[in-house]
Amino acid sequence: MLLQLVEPGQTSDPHSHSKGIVVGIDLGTTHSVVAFVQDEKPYVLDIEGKGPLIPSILSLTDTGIDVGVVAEEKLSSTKRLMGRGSQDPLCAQFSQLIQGEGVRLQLGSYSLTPVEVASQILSYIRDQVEKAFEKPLEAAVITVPAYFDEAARVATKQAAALAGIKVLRLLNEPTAAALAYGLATGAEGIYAIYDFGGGTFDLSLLKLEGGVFQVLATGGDLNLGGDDIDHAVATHFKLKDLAHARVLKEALSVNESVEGVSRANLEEIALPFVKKTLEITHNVFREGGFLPRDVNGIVLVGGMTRMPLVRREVSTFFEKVPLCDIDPDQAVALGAALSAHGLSYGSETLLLDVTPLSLGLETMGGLVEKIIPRNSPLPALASQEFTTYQDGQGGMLIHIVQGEREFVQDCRSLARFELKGLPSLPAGAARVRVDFTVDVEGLLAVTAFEKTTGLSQYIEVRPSYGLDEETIAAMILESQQYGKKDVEKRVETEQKLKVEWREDSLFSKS
Amino acid sequence: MVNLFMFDPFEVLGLKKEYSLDLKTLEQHYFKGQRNKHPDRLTHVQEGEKVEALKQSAVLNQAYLLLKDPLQRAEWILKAEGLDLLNPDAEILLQVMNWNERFESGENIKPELRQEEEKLFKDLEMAFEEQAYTKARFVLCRLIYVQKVLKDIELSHI
Amino acid sequence: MSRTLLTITESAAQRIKTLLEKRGKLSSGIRIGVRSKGCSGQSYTLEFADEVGPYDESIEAYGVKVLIDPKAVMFIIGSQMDYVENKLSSGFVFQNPNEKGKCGCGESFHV
Repeated sequence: MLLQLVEPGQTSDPHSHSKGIVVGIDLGTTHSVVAFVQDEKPYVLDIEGKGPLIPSILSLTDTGIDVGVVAEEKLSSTKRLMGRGSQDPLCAQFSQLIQGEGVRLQLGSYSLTPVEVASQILSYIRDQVEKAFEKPLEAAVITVPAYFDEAARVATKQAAALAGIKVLRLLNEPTAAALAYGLATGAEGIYAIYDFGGGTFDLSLLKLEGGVFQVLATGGDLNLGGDDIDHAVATHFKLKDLAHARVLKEALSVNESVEGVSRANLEEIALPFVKKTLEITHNVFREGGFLPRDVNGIVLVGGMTRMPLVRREVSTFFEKVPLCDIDPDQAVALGAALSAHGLSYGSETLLLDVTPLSLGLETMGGLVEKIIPRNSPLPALASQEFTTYQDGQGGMLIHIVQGEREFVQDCRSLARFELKGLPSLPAGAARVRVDFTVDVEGLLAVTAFEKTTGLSQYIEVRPSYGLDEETIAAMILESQQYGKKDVEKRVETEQKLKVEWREDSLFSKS
Repeated sequence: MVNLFMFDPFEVLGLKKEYSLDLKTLEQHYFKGQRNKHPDRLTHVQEGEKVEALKQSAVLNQAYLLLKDPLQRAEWILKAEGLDLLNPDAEILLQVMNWNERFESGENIKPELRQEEEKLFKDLEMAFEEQAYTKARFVLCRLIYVQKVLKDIELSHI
Repeated sequence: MSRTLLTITESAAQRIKTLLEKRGKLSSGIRIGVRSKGCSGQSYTLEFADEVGPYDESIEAYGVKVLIDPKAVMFIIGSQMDYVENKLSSGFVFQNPNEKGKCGCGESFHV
């Protein structure tokens, strides 16, 4: 074991992290990248001499299912389905979707959830890291799109738990990229991170000052990525294979003409998508109270930013040439590695992120009352007081939603729970205070507190189709018993133990 | 939402209770507080302490947001002096109606409103300097309405 | 003290110098300490020093100042501090002739 020189008082306990290695993982839609820190500098891990990019693809092989080889039959871009319901329009993009309850995809004889596919990719990454460093993977920072909602974030954590990876924290992708860029260049000022990846678009506006990375505003679209352009290209040129469309798109970023298609043809198809990113960018600036030309620099992240059209449009919008001194495919993983290192060994850097979506409560008539507006700095705390409207009312229904729309039906339902066992009091006399806490990862916890009697209840919010921790523990145990590749058994367990969401025992005396 | 009397944002951030506050100073105090309390900085502490730090970090965020907005800052100081927000009087309501009518008829009233806003901010600062809280309350009420009209105009452009 | 308290290799000293410069903050040097945590009794701590403690032992090598916590002296006496790096990791290491046992990872030891 090698000792590191640290700030006074920051020496961590022996063996708290020193047994293994900590890494940053960019779990991307089209590919994933893993990075580590050595000598305070981040590096991406080369995978078996093939470069740092790991296709986020699960393939069917002779022996089972595998990541790292790309076979004829495969599942790709399943990150887009993380935390989504089967009614989501995006499901239509997946031909392997199994009709029925929940989101499941068919791969040979396997039926897999997006969480399970992600856990297979993460297991592969863990194996690669452990092989390269010859020590166990201790913990990781995993990145998610800034615009990921609660359900997708929880799903990502579940995938990591299934893969046996301890998550130091989830980190927003644009924030990670800003960290990598800021620490590499020592840049200070206002920076825009334009992150256009395979599945999602994120725009974050950050202030970099004296080691503080303060996110001022963020915005994005989970249904806007290179994949959507691939689909449009495939439809336009009547291509059967989506991969063909992608190859064509990528080749036209370098060449003026490929297979009789000119770059101008492609740009015509891609332009509406690029315009949409700029519309989102415009709104983020308006909310943040800045003008695009006020920024000191624009950092490009994500494979889509290699497209000349994107660079041109971004330059015009900002009246400034975007920075490209950091590899758009690696920035996120490098930042995640720096964050993982900082969380394990101490660091002078401070990341102040915000919540991408508003959190609200259902009120009379299906309307939403916002309690934590989007772009609030994290962690965020909000309290709301409720009272009873009937004499002796014993319970109270609380419905928490996420989103920007006015009506409950247009927002994402996070949790619906009943406060039970209220003391028998006249209408309006019971006072229930509900505290909402969103932690630095963007995850919500709710505590209810009845003031007249001092009863309290803690509720951990889980997306309605998620798994509780016991189920995950059972699944991990199973995966150890039956081997990693034996997913079908796990699937059965999951169905048996499926819970709507978890609620700790109702009202116990505090 | 946040109960304004639950905490003293000036105390939370170690600032003097004054209306006049530059953003730079506010940020310095805020960043300093977060360096000590942000959950990312406390990965090696006990679970119980983490929950407490999370709360303290969240309270720092609330205090920062409140003080960053000059209107909320003014409102908080006035409430601490025992003065609640003033209800709008007929004069300001008529003025708002007049602005709205002119805007709807296509007139560009933004420069006028911006000028009015700037003047009111100066008046507010002066009133607080002189500790003329009743006057400050009167100015704040007008400022809230001017900003509301300005915001409506901006939103109608989308 | 007649016996050399601690020898510091040139590469360790160079590395300390670089890290002190990178820290950017005026430092009194670095401090070596021990604490009684770890799977084999004791473990070293290696931290930047903002001030010299009244009982700190102090040695200088190749222009860097290394402070040793009085509690650490008996564990460290006669050791050599080195800096090593390979492709995937780097850090400081103590070669301690007093050590009777080490835990598997080498982070803690007993004498």
